[in-house]
Amino acid sequence: MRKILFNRDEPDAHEIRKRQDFDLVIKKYQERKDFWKNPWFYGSIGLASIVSSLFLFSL
Amino acid sequence: MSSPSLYHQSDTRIQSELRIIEKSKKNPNHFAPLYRQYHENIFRYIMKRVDDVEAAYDITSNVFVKALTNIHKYEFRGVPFSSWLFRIAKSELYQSFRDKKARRTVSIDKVIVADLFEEFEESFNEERKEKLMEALRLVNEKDLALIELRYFERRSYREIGEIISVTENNAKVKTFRALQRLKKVYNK
Repeated sequence: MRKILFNRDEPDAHEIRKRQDFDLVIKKYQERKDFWKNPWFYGSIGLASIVSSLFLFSL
Repeated sequence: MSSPSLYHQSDTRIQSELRIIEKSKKNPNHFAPLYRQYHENIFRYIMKRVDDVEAAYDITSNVFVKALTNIHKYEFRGVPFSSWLFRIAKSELYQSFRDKKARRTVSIDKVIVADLFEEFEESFNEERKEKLMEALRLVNEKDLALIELRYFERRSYREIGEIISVTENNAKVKTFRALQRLKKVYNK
């Protein structure tokens, strides 16, 4: 169920600016990039594919 | 409180943004000026649609991470960078609802309510306000999204079209129909 808020308080521009954190954005971006580049990620997908292919052929 | 619109920009500013985007494709650290420029607008867009301020900051941060991850795909074809960012914001927002990290919220104030009543050709009173709040709870999500963009945030049909990936004319028609459906729910 949706919540409807009437006349809610919102942070002002100064408060929002204080919460800017570009370093965190770069850190999260790097982590995401490293995850996709990680050989373990592709290795586990490859291994899972080989195992399932072998299983299917053995049927 | 609303931040100034960044939609209507001069050619010089668009060109300068495009140069930053090209540089960011090679080195993500160059993206900082665009992050600083759009952070508040994206945060406010999200804040109005979630109930928790910390969740809004978190989703905003994820929008920029996603933008950086996909910046190599961005090409200027008449759609301003801000609209591209809002499309990402929209997608991250709905992802956070699916992951139950945030709750769908509609933020309204007296001015918005008065404007909507003007569209409905009715005057404002407390009872009608409650009835409108109930209608906003019941109207379908697509219609609500259009009503928020047009009547709560006063965006142009062109910008709405770019955010929801339809033509300006189509955005106009869809928004008109959304308002009609809200009116129907309100009058039930």
